[in-house]
Amino acid sequence: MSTHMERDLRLALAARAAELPSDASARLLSFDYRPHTPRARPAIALAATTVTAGAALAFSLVGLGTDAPRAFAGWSAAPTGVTRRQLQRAITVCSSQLANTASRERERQAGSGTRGWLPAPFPTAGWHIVLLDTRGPYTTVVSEVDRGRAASTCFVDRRGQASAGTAVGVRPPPPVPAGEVSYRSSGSTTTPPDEGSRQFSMIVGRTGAGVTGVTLRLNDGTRVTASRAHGWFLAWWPGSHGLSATEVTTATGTTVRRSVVR
Amino acid sequence: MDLLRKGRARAEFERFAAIHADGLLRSAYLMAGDRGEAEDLVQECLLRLARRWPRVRSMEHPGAYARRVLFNLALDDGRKRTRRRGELQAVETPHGGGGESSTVAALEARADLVQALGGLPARQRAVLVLRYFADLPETEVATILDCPRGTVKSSASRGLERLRQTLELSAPQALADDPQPKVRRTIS
Repeated sequence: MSTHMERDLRLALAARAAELPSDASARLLSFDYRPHTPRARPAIALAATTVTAGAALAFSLVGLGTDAPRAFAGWSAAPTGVTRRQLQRAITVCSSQLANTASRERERQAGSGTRGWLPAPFPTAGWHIVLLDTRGPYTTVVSEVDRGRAASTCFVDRRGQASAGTAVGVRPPPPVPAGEVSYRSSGSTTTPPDEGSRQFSMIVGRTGAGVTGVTLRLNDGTRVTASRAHGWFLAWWPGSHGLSATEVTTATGTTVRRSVVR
Repeated sequence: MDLLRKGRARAEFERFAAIHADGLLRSAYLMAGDRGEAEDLVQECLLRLARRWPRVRSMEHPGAYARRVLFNLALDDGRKRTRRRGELQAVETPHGGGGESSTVAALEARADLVQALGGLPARQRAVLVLRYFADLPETEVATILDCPRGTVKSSASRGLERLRQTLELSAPQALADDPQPKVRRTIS
């Protein structure tokens, strides 16, 4: 069958689906839950945008906002249950932040008429949530567009303050082989001195078919269980310890991969 | 969602819904062609999942089950409203922006494709949405639609061929209306 037709159909369907605003599902869910909890309207933190080209290891890491004085109290090495309030707040604030970033980008592109240093246009529509990671009072939302061509990581702290990084490539990354994982972004950052100079690190990646668990071994011996969904995984931890190995679990067992990240 | 009174089960379901609702909504939109109908389908889908949550949560792939429920609802809905077939709205084409003709042609081609998709039988449309939007392998599509893999393969093939024929039929009119002939109706 025509390869052109298949490719055109993929693009047409993606474009059609992108007509729905990025917060359409959040609105749908919040409508359903409205009788139970008022909608949170936290302030929007400034989004930092980091761009990369192609499928190479990209850097995209959130900043910590203003949560540092009580940094990471309640953090858990394994994902925890999310409260309704956390859920609504994270989806609302992260959707708003993406929409704001897209709006600024549209204005910037319209004003300059060029993409500037961006390797590809910042996607202004079509974002959808693929992963939600909750560790105590902290929630991280990963959204993607165009099968991972661009991915945004939005971290929401205990006060509802969000900050995010976005990686934009020129094309979707190649599929990850079955039973394997690949790292999409990694890094660590430090909060300002007046906020405690606390560091935290985060890794975001993709999983191939059949992966049922991802655990990161840090070089201080800590084991951090990643959240997984829709072919993505994410884990973060306080401090700047690097990754020494990754445990990948499939139906046939767990294998340990030496890791070279940081 | 008061079906889930226990705190932990409720939290799990809400987390599940938050992750999957967006993908379900966009798939429903492609199937129904109307945002309101898509939202109704997803609401109904989530309600059914909530009612069966103790069983769904123990499944190996609850997300795949959610898709199955959604597409069954969409197909049932499609059967009840066959008169609506073909009413899938065209993608809005921006005007007045001074865009290049190739961009306009690409947008028109997308609109034609989406419109042609709306004219397909609901089951063929479901196969194409699952294969080319959700990017699912034939075996998974077969599981969702509860049919043999061969049926998925033949439905996809027939659907693509029908789209191609529809576009070819619509091309002469487009050429007659457009002083700049579209040499190839391929999205760029």
